[in-house]
Amino acid sequence: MLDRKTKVRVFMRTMLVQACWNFENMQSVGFLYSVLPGLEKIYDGEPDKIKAAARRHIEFFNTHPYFSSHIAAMALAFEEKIQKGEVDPSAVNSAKVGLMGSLGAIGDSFFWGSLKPFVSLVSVLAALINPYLGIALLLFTYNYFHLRLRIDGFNKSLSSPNGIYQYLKQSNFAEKSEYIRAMVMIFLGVYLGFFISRILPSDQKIIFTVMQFSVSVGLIVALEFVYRKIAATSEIVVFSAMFVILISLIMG
Amino acid sequence: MMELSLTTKVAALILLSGLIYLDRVAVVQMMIHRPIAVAVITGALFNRLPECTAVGVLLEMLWVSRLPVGASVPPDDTGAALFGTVAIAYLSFVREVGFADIALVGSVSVFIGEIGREMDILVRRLNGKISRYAIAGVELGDLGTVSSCLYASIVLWFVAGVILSFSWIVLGIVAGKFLIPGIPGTIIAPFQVMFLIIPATGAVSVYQHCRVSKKSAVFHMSLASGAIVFMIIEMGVF
Repeated sequence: MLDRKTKVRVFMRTMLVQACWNFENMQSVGFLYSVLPGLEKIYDGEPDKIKAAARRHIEFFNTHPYFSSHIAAMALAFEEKIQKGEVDPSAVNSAKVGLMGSLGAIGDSFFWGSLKPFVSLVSVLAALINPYLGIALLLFTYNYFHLRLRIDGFNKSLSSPNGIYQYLKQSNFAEKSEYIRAMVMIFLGVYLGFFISRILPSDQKIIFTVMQFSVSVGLIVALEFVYRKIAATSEIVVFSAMFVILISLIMG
Repeated sequence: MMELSLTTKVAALILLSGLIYLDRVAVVQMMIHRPIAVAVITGALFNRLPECTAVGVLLEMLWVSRLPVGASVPPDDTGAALFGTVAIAYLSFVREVGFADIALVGSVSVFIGEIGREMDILVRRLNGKISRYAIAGVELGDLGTVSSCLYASIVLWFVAGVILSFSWIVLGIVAGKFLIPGIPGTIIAPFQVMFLIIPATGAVSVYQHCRVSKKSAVFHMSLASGAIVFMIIEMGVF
């Protein structure tokens, strides 16, 4: 069994899993760096076995960075079984390969596709009231969820080679993502409503305000259509800016 | 409290940004690199919080659904925010800034984000060479090379971050102090529409990526009610 100090070292090192990210082996160096203290502890006094285990973990690796803690813990749980002779050494890489793709997809959908937009929108709305409140909300809320999930997943995945599967089953990321996305849609609408209210002059007749409001909503619908076709945010902004310059030059 | 000179503040921001750049990919990813966070830091440093936050809000919203999936490298939103906030802070030292100025700076920052992405790609390619050393070390049984190579990569990310920060901050100072004040008001004024287009583009990207039931109804209802409530507040009814 790994002691507490080694567990903390491995967990902290998973924070650097992307430090040597590259197009060839992606996170492989970062992953080996993370599990190395655990391997040294498991195969204490057997340098050849440590080297053999290190060779197993320098293979291609890529997953969502926040789930690397879970996979590192699972790999160490496997290594303990390998050391006892209960599992074949090839099993750890099969489990890693099987999990890294699915956890990558779950992480992209949950963290990048749901939690990050939600926390961004909330913090942006808060920043409009007070910038410091915005940044505090962003850092506190996001990191609370991300670190809590990492710590929980790490501990449960370390318990046994199957711990990670039980953890994923209990966590129900798909349902959580659905709730967060519904909230994202609400905040997104409110947020855009704020921008529309900002660009509409408030000192004119109500009929003009309604007309300009309709034009703004029409513009958003048009953007939805354009984005569906080209799906590139930066390009849309660049072309819009060029169009604005062109119009302002024509209008003199 | 002792007031720091502008040069000291710029130097501090360059070093701090180098560390912030580490948060983008290499270390933890605790979101300190997001445009809104960078904007608040720059705004606090230059004592121009409202102006810098406005730029940060625009850029945060534009890249809100930025997805670093697999090998895809997203735009450098940290660099874009650095350039935009420094430019708007320096512009506000020259003259009063309006929505159109903020939208103009926000639009130019998008270019910066795209250029910064190339540096990110370069660092990842250099990391490829570093990783080959690490793999060779492991094959030879020298496990110490793993830590050395990883720390070398962190230093590489930091140096790249400092170079980018320096470039964008200097460019931001030049744009805010000399270039934008020279642009005629007739050119800048129509940029007010970009104040809606930039966040709306980010919003539609989230809208397209989000798969949730009745999303169209929820989104458009929130939009209409949000706009009405904020307009009523703007008119001073409350």
